Amino acid sequence: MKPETKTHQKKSTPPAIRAVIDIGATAARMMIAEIDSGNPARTLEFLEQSVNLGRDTFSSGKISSETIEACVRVCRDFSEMLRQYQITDPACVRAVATSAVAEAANSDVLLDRIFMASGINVEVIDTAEINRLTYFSILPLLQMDPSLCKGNLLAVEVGGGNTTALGLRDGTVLFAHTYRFGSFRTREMLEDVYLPTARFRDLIEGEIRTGIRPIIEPFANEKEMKILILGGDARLAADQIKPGWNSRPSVSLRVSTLARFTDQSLEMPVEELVKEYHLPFAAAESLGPALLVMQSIPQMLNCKTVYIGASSMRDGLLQEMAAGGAWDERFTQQIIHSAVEIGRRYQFDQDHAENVAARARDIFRVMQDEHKMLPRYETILTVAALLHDIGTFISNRSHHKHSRYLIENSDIFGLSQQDRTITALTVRYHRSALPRSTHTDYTRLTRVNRLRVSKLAAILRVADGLDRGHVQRIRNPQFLLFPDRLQIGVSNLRDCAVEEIAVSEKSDLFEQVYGKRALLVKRSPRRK
Amino acid sequence: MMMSSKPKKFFNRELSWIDFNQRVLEEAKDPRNPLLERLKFLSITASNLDEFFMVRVGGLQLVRKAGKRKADASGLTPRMQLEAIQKRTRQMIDEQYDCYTNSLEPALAAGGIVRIKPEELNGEQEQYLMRLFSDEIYPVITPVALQEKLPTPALQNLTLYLLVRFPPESGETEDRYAVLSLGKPLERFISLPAENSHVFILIEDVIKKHIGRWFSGLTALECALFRVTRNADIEVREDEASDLLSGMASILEERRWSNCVRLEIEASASRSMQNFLGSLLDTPPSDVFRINGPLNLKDFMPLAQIEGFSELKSEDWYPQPSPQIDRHQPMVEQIAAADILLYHPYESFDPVVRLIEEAARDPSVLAIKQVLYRTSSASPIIAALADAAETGKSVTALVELKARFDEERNINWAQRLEQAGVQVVYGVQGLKTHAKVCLIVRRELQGIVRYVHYGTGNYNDSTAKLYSDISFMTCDDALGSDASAFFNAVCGYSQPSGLRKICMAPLSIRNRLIELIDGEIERSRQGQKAQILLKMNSLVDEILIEKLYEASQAGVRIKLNVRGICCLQPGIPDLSKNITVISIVGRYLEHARIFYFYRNGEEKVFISSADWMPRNLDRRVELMIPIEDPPSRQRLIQIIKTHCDDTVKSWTLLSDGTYVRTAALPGRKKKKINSQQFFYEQACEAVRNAARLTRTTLRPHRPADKK
Repeated sequence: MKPETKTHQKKSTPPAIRAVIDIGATAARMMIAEIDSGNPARTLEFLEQSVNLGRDTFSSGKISSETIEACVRVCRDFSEMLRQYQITDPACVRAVATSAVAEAANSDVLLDRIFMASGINVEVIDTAEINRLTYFSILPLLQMDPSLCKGNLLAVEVGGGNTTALGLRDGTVLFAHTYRFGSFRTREMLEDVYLPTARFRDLIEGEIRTGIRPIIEPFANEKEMKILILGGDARLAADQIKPGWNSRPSVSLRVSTLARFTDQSLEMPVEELVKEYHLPFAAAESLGPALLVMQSIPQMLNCKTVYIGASSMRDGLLQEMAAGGAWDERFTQQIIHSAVEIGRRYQFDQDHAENVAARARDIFRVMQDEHKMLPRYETILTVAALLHDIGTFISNRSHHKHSRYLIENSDIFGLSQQDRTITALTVRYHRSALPRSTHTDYTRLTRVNRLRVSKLAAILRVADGLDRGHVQRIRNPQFLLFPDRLQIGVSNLRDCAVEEIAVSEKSDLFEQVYGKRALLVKRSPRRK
Repeated sequence: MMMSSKPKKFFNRELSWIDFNQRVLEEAKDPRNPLLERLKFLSITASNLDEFFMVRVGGLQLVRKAGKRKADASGLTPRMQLEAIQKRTRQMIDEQYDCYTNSLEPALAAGGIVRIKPEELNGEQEQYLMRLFSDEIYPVITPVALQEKLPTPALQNLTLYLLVRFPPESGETEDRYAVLSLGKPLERFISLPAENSHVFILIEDVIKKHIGRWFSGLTALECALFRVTRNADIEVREDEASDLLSGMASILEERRWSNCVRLEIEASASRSMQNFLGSLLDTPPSDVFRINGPLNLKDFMPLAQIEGFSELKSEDWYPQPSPQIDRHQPMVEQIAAADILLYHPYESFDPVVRLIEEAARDPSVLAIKQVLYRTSSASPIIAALADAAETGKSVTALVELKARFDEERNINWAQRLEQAGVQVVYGVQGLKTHAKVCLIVRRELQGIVRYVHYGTGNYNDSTAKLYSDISFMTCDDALGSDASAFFNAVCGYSQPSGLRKICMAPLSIRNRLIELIDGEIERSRQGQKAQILLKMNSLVDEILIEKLYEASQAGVRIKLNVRGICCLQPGIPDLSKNITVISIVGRYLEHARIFYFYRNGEEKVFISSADWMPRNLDRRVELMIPIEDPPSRQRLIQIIKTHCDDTVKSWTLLSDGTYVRTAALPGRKKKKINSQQFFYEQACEAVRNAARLTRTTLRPHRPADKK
């Protein structure tokens, strides 16, 4: 039987099928979806099974062997489903685990068992990545509901172990933080405290308020606020309060209604929650604290309504897979914006920083065939260029070293830990000593990453030299690449003696890495 | 016994069930029906009663023995229910045998189907029987002596036995007894050589005639046939049986020997014989039924289906090919072009089988998932699933081993599927999977497309010829993704998660129905027209009945088409005056569940696997599917409305609990509507119309559809 295709249907390949798996504190979930360029992902399967990771990790610091086996069983089921869709290429599957695995002393044992039994390679992701994925996951939601983009928006995902908060103003990320504060962590903390229900609630509310304070702090004085809450517990609350809402990307609830639902749920014993809401035990146990967190945030910010979003980190993962790991323009802008915010915090010379960033980008592009790096490294180079001098906030002596640790310890939205390390080391080598085998932080990197740092730092040094005077004397430089040199043509070479010297001094690493000198020349007016 | 003075708002479900069986019996008694048709109905009533005793009476007896005295919603305690059941069933059995002995047997003889008694045999028949007895009957029967001191031999559930009484041994005072099994491999009917008619003799008559052959030297004082019905209300305890397959096998074993809930014995048997059996089986006289005629009328079904004798039968109705389906085109293409709704058995079940068979061979198909509840032994569906698995497709079969009385058959094909590489899932813990759904996942150019079949009947091509059921085939994205979510939940891949369109018991069907009824109530209160039409097999659920009462009081017009048990009391002022209930008993067993809500003209209609019983809504996995495709929806609305308007084969339930033929109701001068006839003729008409259309186009020759 060979089905004829309709004649008007254009022949092409079927859309790609991708799977994302996330292993959280109370559940492991898998989503299989079709990604077709330009269209939103179409979910084919959504599997969710409860696991006790949160309970194990947050109470004893390690995952019990029963829980490991339970996770292995779940992953076997997932892998069976992957087989049904004939997904065999590991590149089509992205599996991540969050805090409940990350913080377990024996997380390796779990990950190895899962890999051996199911072939699924689970990677533990760091908070910066969670921030980024959360951002990706709410993007479609913001696009569909532009009113959420206006003014201040605090997007919060209350997880079992961590809470991620993303602050946006007019759609631009102001900050992104992940706090070690979650429904399960809170619950486990109080596990051994035997108290009557009312006292229990007081105590837990106290904990929550302490936990939330830093999350809402940036918006504490804002009058106009919107709050968007994500996560399974939030979806459950919305399901109960407004059944059938999930055909939409988000729904608004009155905080008072949410509070009533919270009161009602807190009074129910876990067994009843399981029965009433068809929940697995693990999720029922942490529901109460999660609901309290959800209602406390708007209450502390004096908001009357709260939005619940249908999206999750899995949507973010899929978005990222659909983009093939590339960062789109909008996301790149968010990263740069976040870097500028940090620069401001350390009172950077913004004109100089942006000039160096622009020149660094110019050189990165003209050198593309030489360094062959992915476009995202242009963004990393930009961030490095923007922040290369922030160390002067601490001291003028060895400021490159101060810049380095400031960057390593700042939440730059969108950059993973590894991205930040590369950025920080690039900055560290923007002046003074070249990378050396005695620099342990440098040598500890993989070879690929060491090369990245060298390539980027080489460019940054030259770009920095081009504005040695911090007065942006060089305008519209022209970059020409020759076999032996990178020639930078400037029309006002006579005014730029400082820069000319600086470039020749600072092209040392450039020459070492790329085998070319960088030099300033007078720009001939006839050349393009 | 104290009875509450508060009027009860519910009929007792057991008595309502007996009423249903009575309506079937009325069909057997109705001289307007062809003779063999009447015999078929009679045989069905007997089979129904067997099941009723095994399950319902068995269960009630256990409840009573456990000392429970709580009255049910109709105000009857278990004891009162059992007493009422005794009374009604005894009366029913009398009517069954009156019908058989005084009407059917003589009329059949006149029509050429003759039951002959031993004393009426002619020489040729006598000789023929002698030979048959010696060759085939005598060698397979071994009499067993029965003594109260000896362990009772295994008397199997629902099997015919002959009890023989002998005088006491010298020096003793007690009579002696022996028992002969007339069960397998013996046939109940023995055809005898005869001219111009079908002459048969019953096996028990032959054995009684030759009883002396087994007991040389002894004189039998008397012999009588008896039959034991055992309690089948035993379910596998899943927490104890880690392996359901072996657990179920032991249930079957247990059911064979569980306590006796009914003892039937030939009326000619002496009291001493009856007492002997009663004490042997620990059965009180209230559970003993003396039968005045051939035991086990269920055995007469093959006779009702005898070859020939068409003048004694109804005209054959053959399932018609649906004109919606082109037999030369793959099913998936046709479903992709338009949703398909079929009404079986007026329309053939073949397209459903074909969908699965084609999927098994289709290289684009990634996965087939299917629930199998009761399916026929030589099912082409099982074969197709096995084929698909053998060619490397991912095939999942959710096999419900707990389908009552079919367990044995289910275990067999479950094993066969497993051997073929099908991933077999044995149901859901604590719940019977009653939903009927098949999902085919296919990779096409535009992406993954899911083809789904949702039904109200089982994937059983043989019952599909007798049960009227709806099939709905679609590739709607939401209905497809719901089917996936359903399978992920029942196969344990995932906790049940958000379903987009369908509802699933035990999670959401009852609540959704309440919402829908509430919607009509609200509309009625706001002065809009409000109407609900419901078609199902049984209506027992108190919560939903209360809701229907509330709707009636709010002015919602409610028409119920409930084939079997109905605990709702219709037509009671201040309670249910806007509710009418009819029950259709016709040549097909009404089996489709269709729920219709008017919604001020935005009509919504659902098909479902679920009856409105606590059992279905709380302890079974069931589905309720909205039919939104406009032509299918219109068709379904026509189906339920036509059934609700039936005046020929329908019975109307009165507020006092009695059923009256709708046609006989006073003051009704309605046009005659026989809904089953109507749908059959409609199906034939559609085929004729389609044939006329195709005649104008040139197509390769294909076999004619004419019957």
